[in-house]
Amino acid sequence: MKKLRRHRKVVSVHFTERKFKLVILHVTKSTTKQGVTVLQMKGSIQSGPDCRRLEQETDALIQGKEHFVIFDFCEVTHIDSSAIGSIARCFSRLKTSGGSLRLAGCKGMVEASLKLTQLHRVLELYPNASAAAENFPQPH
Amino acid sequence: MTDWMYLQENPAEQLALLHFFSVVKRQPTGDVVFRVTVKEFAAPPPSQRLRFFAEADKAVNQKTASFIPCGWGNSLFNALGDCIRLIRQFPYEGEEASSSP
Repeated sequence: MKKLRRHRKVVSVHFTERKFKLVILHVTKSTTKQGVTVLQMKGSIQSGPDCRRLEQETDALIQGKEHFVIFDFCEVTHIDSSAIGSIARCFSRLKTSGGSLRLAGCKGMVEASLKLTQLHRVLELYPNASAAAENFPQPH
Repeated sequence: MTDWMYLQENPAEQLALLHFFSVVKRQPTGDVVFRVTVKEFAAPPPSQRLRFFAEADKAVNQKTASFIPCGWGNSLFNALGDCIRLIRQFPYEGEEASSSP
């Protein structure tokens, strides 16, 4: 019984930590009718696994010859400075491979962060993914 | 809470204590001095939830995706640490490279 109680305590601490942790990043991939790849993200993008995931997804797209990409942030609530670095890295890699990156659905804290770092001067921001897909350089 | 913070009447005033730092980025083209200003807000600015915001005085990664290294957090250490990490990770590709700090 004592053992069980101790175990219960550990579980409840774990639950409390999980409760206060920000939402984990979820990524959904789709393709527009123009042939542009959209990575729709949900949650928050923070240093560590989230940023690694973002860069790995981009690397996989480049390897799969998908060089024209939209990051749809309409359901992203929070990004930190590491995420800014990751977005810049993703853009650099896509540009080097002959492609491009556009950001869609940035609002609130996400939009403010992109403007603070002046990344919005390099990366084009669009209200949504369909607006970002318009006039996108034609994928080869 | 430090006394100066009580001078703020409204969060929209964004009263902040400024902390200044300097760091040298060493790279093959020459050393570059970055000055980092950390704003310690009396209260998180509107639509923010963190009190510390660090910003470098110049951009990095100018040739591909130029941006200003920044960092934000709930302590000076976190905000400054994030900003300096970005300064270290990305090359300075501007014209202001100098050899002395």
